[in-house]
Amino acid sequence: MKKPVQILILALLLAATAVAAFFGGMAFSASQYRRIGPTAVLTTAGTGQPASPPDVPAEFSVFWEAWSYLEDQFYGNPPPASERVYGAIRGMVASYGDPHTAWIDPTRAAIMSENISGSFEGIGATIRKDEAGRLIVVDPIPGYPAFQAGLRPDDVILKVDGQPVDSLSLYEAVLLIRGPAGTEVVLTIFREGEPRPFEVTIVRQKIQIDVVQADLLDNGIGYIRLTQFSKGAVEKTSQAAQDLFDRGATGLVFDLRSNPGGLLSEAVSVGSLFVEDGAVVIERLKGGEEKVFKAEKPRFLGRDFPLVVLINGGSASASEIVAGAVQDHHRGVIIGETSFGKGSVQLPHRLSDGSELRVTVAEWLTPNRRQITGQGIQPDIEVTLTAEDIEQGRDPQLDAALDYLRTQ
Amino acid sequence: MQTITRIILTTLVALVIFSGGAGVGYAFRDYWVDDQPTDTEAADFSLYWEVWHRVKEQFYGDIPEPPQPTYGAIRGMLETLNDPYTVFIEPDTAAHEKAQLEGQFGGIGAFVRQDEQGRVILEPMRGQPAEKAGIQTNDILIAVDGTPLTPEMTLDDIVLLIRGEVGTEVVLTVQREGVADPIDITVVRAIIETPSAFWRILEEDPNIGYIQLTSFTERSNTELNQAFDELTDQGAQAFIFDLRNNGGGLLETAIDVASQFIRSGVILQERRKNGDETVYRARSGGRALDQPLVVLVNGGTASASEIVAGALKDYGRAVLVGEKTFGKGSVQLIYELSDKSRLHVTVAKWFTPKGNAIDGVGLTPDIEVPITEEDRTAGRDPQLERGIAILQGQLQDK
Repeated sequence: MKKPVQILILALLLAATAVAAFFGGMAFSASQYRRIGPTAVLTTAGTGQPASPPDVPAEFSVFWEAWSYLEDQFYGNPPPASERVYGAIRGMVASYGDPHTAWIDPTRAAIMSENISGSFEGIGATIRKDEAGRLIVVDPIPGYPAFQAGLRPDDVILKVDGQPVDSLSLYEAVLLIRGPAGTEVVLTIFREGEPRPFEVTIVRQKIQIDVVQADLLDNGIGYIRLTQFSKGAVEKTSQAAQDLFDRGATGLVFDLRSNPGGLLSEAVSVGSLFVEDGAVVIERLKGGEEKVFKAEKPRFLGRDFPLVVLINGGSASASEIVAGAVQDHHRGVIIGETSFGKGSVQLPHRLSDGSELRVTVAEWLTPNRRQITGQGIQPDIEVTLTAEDIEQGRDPQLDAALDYLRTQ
Repeated sequence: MQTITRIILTTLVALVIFSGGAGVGYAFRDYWVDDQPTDTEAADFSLYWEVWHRVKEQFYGDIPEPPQPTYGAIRGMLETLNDPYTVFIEPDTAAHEKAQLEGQFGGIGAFVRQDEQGRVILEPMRGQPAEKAGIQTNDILIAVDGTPLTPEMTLDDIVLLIRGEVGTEVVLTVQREGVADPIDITVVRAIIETPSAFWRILEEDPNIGYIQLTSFTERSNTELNQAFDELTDQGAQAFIFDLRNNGGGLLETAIDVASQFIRSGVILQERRKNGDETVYRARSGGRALDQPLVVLVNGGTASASEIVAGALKDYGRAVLVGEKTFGKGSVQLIYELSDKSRLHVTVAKWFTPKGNAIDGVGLTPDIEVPITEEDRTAGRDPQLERGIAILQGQLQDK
């Protein structure tokens, strides 16, 4: 039993990195699997077995009534029964009202596992679902295809290659958008102020970003940008910081903008660079059980330099953990825009037919027990970045960070 | 899906205050069915239960109250059918829908509109309860049964407050120009039957009779008989039949209305599952079988209106002028489920005499004439103008 579980965890962690980097915000805690147990491999009843467990809720009979009326009377070409069952599963899961709790049908789950082993190819944008279940563009990354094709924050994606996405889960929609580099995807977009929806054709490409970019700016301020919390992010960040200090940096800007997250372990380690003691993040499970992830002392970079952390609407999950820890421990100032607001933990299950179920099983709280989900991290100093700024090559958020550090 | 349901319901609510119970905006052939579902081969549902268990056991946060997961499953299943008219309606909303469709809801017989400042203005219809109780045109409604109107309320919300069971009373508090204090007026709700047809000889050309039909109700055909008789007496030799923004109504009425213009032949084919087909033919007694005819259509021309316009187009009986029609050519049956929720199922689709589908396609007019925002503000109607010009040409050729 042990070996399959380990393989599974590895696959899931890889999945986490790949998927998170695409749409923003998931970090898996490997400890979850140990605690909850190896539940991911299941079998369903084979043919001839009763299709329902004994504890089917009484109200479910209504479903069968509806099913029968459709079988008898519906005019049109209904999809095969299996597809309608998939629809029922999607709808049932959607009744939980959590965009991160989702079921992914076998075809798409298979595409996803292929993508995990391959490289990460997409359009370079973060996407979320709003309360109405609409798919919203959060943050097209400058220089990448979505941005170049003219996608803007708050654009509503109605269709992907002509297929409506409103009934799909966030994960499934993302899988439709992703594809091999060089291929085209056509998004049908609704934009506030435009009279009608329009189509945008985007050529997918490999989204390859150096995980850490570092630079010593004028007047002795070090700048580090972390683009995702993949394995090894903490070593790279720590090394970059040491180099900058060696070169005379006296202050640090840590840029987590558009960083969609990654691994929880890396988030805790990166948080420990700035937090000397105490909690980096608290994980609360169903039933109220809590686990405190404490700062890893040897990683602490010291407190003798002023720190600014930059965030925006594309800073999600692991990024929010780090920003929240820095804010609660008063170790630095947070500048930019309110973060994404994804502070929940999903446990993925591979089901017998190859489909996948992800269930939100826990959530993260900042050290001061503030919720991340929904509200995100509010910057101490709010500075927005407009499309015009980007076109003109301006970065008022970084400017505000430098202004602040100059006064320190 | 939910939005669409709401739109349909809103349409019903909004129109019912004027029309009192006719299923306007939605052509119901047969809107009440009571039979039981037959047994069908059960699909393999093991995967469903696997997911159901797992989510319920592990989800962090509030678990949805039963029967919401089941309702979610029904909605999700319906989504895969890709039909905006096959919808599931929860019991609360279903009760409301039922009351409206069965016509138990009465109105007061007044038009309600909102002015630019958001004030709700009443305009009573002649001879209806609101007028009889003393409501005057331009009275400003400020409260219904003591509930003050707030800026957040939509006209639909207000209409819902006003409407209620036939025979019951509603107290309207109105502000009237020249009167200092608000006035309370008690109105007894009733089924409001309003005319569906409006007609006149055109000022622009006394040879042309203009008839507007706003919906297909039980009395529409009688009204049309009267319209044709009157207009013919007044010298009309050609007709403009205006179906713009007519969202439909009763199927039987649509056949009668088409038969006013078509002597014989198929008006409509209704196809069901398994190839069952019902053919509706023209009935005798048409009043306008030979006169030159223009039918005005636009994007609000739907359902029963499209049946009539489609038949007239196929037979070359009329020139269609205006904009592409809505494209609603399917028939829904409403099933009540055991918990009083309801299921609307598309059970048939309509095809024009030549076999063209109406649903999802709509009718393209013979002569496309758009109306711009500019036309509207200037009070111009280029579609009507074009119709007049066409008929004048045809009358001259005669």
